[in-house]
Order: sequence, then C-alpha cells, then structure tokens
Amino acid sequence: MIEFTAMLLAYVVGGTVIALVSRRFGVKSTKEYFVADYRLRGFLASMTYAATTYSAFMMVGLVGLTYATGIGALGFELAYLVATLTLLAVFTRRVLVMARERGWVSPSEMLSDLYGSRLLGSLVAAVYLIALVPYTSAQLIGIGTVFEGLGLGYVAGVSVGAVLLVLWIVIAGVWSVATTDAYQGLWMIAASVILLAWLLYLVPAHGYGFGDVIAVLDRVGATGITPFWSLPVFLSYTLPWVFFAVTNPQVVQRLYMPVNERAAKVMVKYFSAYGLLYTVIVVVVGMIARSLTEFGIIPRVAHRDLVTPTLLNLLNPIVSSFIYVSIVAAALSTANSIVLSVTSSVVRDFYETRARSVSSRAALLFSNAVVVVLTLMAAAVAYVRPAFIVEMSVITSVILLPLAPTTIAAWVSPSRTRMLWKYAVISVVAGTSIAMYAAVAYGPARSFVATIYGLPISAWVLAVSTVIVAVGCLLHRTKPSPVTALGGRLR
Amino acid sequence: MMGLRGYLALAVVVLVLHYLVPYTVLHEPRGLALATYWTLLSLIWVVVTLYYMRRRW
Repeated sequence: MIEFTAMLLAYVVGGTVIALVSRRFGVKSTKEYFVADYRLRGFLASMTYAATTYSAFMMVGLVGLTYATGIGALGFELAYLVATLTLLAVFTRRVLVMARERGWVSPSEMLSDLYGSRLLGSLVAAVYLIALVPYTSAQLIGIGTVFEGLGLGYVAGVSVGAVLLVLWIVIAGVWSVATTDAYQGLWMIAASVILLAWLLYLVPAHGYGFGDVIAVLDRVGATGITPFWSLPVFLSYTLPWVFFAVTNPQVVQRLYMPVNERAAKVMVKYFSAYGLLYTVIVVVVGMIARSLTEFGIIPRVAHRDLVTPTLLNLLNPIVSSFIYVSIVAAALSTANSIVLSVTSSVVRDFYETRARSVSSRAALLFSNAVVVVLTLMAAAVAYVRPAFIVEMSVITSVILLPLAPTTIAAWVSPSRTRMLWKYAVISVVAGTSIAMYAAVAYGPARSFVATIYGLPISAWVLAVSTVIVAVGCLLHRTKPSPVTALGGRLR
Repeated sequence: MMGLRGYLALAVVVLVLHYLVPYTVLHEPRGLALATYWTLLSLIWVVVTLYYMRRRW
C-alpha cells in the first residue's frame, strides 16, 4: 500500500507539472481549449489518440478476456486496429481540411454543419451524454476498484480519479489533456512491457519452457477459436469497434487537431505502432496467465477482471505499483478525453450557438463548469456502483454505432448532405432506439451478444441506420455543387 | 501506384480474411498459427496503410 501510494503521488505530481507547463501553449478561446487551435504536433497527436483509445480495458479487461476465452480476443482487438487504420487513412486528411475551413470544434457541431441541421447536432450531443457518461463512470469505477483491492478504499479511488480528471482538463484544456496523455501513454506501454518481461522470466523460473506453454494452451483449446468465440459473438464484439474511429467523439475530434498533414501522418504512424504493440503484449500476458493456471502456478481465476490483480500480487510491490498506476493512467487518459469532448458538444451545440453574444472568457468559464458537472455526474454513478454500469459501458459502442453511416456519408459527400438532414435524424433516432431497447429488453451485457435471426443486435443497428441514410442518398441523387479545397494540401 | 479505390478494395479483402481464415482454416488449436496469422495480417496492413498515406496524401 505504501509503495502504491508513493508511486501514485509521483504519477500525480509528474502529470500535474506537465499539465501546468502546457499552459504555455495558451488557451484563450474554446477552439484552443477543445482542439488546440488545430496546432498539435505529430507525436502529441499520436499519443493522445492512443491513450484516449486504449483504456483500463486493455490491462484488465483484455487480459482477463484472453485468459478466459483464448486467442480470439486478439482477433477481436486487431479487427478494431485494422478498421481504424483504414478509416484514418481514408478520411483524416479530408476531415483535417474541412475542420479548418468550417471552424469545427465538436463532432456534433461537425454533423450539424454538414447536414445544415441544428436539431441533428443537439440530438447527437444528447446521444453522447447517454452513451458516454456511463462509460466515464466505468473508468472511475475501475480506478475505485484498484484502490479497493489495495486496501485504500473504493470511495477514495473514485474521488482521486474525479479530482485528477477535472484538474488535468481545466489547467489548459486539450493541451493539458494531450500532454498528460503522452505521459500516461508512455507509462501504460512501459508497464505492459515490464509485466510481459516478468512473465517471460517467471515461466522458465518454474521449470517450464515456451514449448510447454504452447502445448498446454493447445490442450485447453486456447490457441484456436474456442466455443466462446462463435462467429455471431465475434461479430457482436468486433462490429461496434470497427466503426469506433468515426462514432466516438473523443477520437473524431482528434482528427481536427494535427497542425498539418505531416503531423497527421505521424499521428497515424505512431498510433498504429503503439496499438499493434500494446495489443499483442496484453494478449500474450493473458495467454501466459492462462498457462500459469494450467501449470498450477496461480489458482484458477473465476472473475476475468481479477486476472491482472492476481498476477500483480506475485510481483515486487514497487513494480506492481508501477503497473497498477498504469491502469489508473489508462482509465484517466480515456475518461478526461471523453469528458472534454462531450463538454465541447454541450458548449458548442447548446450554448455558443444559442447565446446572443459569447465572450471567450464566458465560454471558457462555462466549459470548465460543464467539465465539473459531467465529472460529478460520472462520479455520482460510480459511487453508487450499480451493477449495470459496467455492462452499459460495454454497449456504449453499440449506442454510438448509428453515427457511423451518418458521419461517413457526410465525409464522403459533404456537398450533398444538406438535403439529407431528415434522414440523418431518423437514422440516429432509429438506430439509438434499437440499441437502447435491446439494452432494456435483454439487459446491457446480454444485448451485446444477443442475436436476431442469427445477426447480432449491433448488425441490426448498423443495417437500419445505414439503410435510412442510403435511401436518402438515393432519393436525393443530384449533381454535387463544386466544393473547393476538399482533400487539398494543407499549408 | 495504389489509388483510393485500390486501397479500399484491399481493406475489404483484409477484413474478410481477418474473419474468414480463422473460422475456416485456422480454427483448431495449432500452436502459434492463429496468433501469428492475425498479427502478421495486421502488421502487413499497417505497412500498406503507411505506404498508401505516404504516396497519396
């Protein structure tokens, strides 16, 4: 406990110093506060994208999922990476140019602008609140659980998480978020490498070779497609994440931020390397953990989320503290990016567009206030710790899935979408309603893997939303008006 | 030189292969085969994507 407290203190001091130094970048407007005035350099852009994307799910959830269900977990997580790289390669440059031309700050504002519909922007902002507040609560619950497991108290953990979440946002907006994300992203990958290295030492130390590891994993079926990973379940897990890069506002917004095309290329390059490395390391940790159970070195772990803590209990306290803090960092780096992004939607779509005149100072004060309110909401839910919240966070990606066809249609053909706003609104309402109905009817966790006529709920959500947008596109096929500078070189 | 359509066509192929091969050819436990397949396929796609971006952006 002392070691963790000291490590946590070092982490907090380090992050806070970095956040304070980032104030030198200057935050005088909401554009600077939320999207860094489109000035992020490549390394910062890549690290904030990576740290925002990869949450505590990786070192806790994915390790446990791999332990329990085998190598299928690798296929699930890499499907996300392959799809995300494709979407980034196709759309980043275009979105980068359009964001500057049109002054986008929030993703809901982007859709509002592209479709010419304030209603759509408000609707999307509301969907973000419904989908992402539970997800943020789940990150705070994760931090609380780490504290609880170490004897420091669940409430203390949630409180520390909430305070840091707010602090590292209000210091300098996305500048302090991005710089602390870089810090936390490095901490996360270092921790995963350390854990893997220790496991690679532990196995031979107990007299087993890596041939034995593979043989025992083969024997229990973990190296193949286990019964858990039926094709419908694999589709259920992968489909929502395939479109993560275009549906989740915290990552969509990061496409606006690179200072130029070169920085955007660096962002994609470093993110792809980070994502592949981090994913492979975490899955290998889960597989080795399973082999340790089969060898009798660690007991069978019934609850997936306890696999990582079980491993860490065997480690030197300083090293395990470093890794525990990396889990806190992963949760926090995701949570504060989400809160900042949802705040941008609230501020841009509900305040700045409606107020008669808005001074920068008032907008920034309002932004900070919204950050605090959203964090308090997420923390309040986390304090109560309802069983369904973690389950709700699992279907966050399904609730946001209807935004995929709406967003992609607008990015592909921005000149046509002003005629399609009604279809976009109906698409989002229909898709979100199906997802929410399924969550209520089946329960959030079951709805994630439930199927109707053999297809997962997420496939139905995507199909219905896409058909509605497609019908609109077909009915309103006209010659597009000239669009200047689309995909043009960014100076 | 690969254009956008070529890149997108390849992306569809890669995504199909990501699902198809594991569920047909590599579903049985066979050591590192499936893990290597998925990792290599993803690595190849990272390289192709970075090449595409370098040439086309």
